[in-house]
Amino acid sequence: MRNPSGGDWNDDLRVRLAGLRLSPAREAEIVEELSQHLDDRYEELRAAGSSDADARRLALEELSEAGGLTQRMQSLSQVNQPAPVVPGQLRPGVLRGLWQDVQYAARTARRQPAFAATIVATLAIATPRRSYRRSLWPHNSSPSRWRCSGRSGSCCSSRAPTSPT
Amino acid sequence: MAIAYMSMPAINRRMLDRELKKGSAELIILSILEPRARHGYEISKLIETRSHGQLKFHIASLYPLLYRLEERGWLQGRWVEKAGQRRRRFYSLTAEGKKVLASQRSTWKAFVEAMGLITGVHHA
Repeated sequence: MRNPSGGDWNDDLRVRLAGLRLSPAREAEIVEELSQHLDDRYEELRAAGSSDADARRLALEELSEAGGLTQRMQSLSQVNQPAPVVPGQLRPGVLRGLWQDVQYAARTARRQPAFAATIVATLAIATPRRSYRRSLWPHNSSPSRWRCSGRSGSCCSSRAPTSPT
Repeated sequence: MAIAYMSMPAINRRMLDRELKKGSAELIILSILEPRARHGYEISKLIETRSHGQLKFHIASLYPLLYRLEERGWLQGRWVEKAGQRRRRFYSLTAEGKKVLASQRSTWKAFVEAMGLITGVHHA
């Protein structure tokens, strides 16, 4: 909202409201509402004879009166809202990130059940097979190593099982 | 000492004003909104004119109070758009707010009467 002096109340208001962590939609509403109040107050002061600069200064000073707008709003339940979830952006904290992942997975499963079912089925089939292979061929004697040990090459020489001396 | 002695009454008066205002602020807002919905600036001007300039609710105290009463469910804020004008947020009393207003009026009346009996201050 622009005032006649060419200034912008919105910037002042946003700076004051920034620490309250309001939801973006609520912050925009409050900025709009308070801007209108400041416009009206500015016009009133101008009509009473204040200069442009004085009217603007006095209107803004009223934001700091009685402990200030920010302090008085601290106790409202609409402040300190959790930050919006941005896809691909992790929030600090391992558990929070994990919880965010779980929420994202649940939302995706709800929206795309066929896709989710395919993923679950793939994991259900692939995971036991892999575990079964690992149980048959222990780590140091996998078939790939046997295949490799029979050929020449740098990889084979470094991976070839060594016999105890 | 002289400075402290001189300044104490002023401090006490400011504190008393602040406490009285705090204790009556909800009743004032609810009363102003009883007849019809009003926007924030109109509420602040009405308080000032009806109290002959004795009470002023500036932006820093008025809006947090409106938001608090709205959170309690006593007021409802609604954006209203009129042709050729920017939209404004009007506040009106809810059913719960009307009940609270009636209750606070009764309590305040009893308090003022009691104070009158104690202090000898009576309504003109």
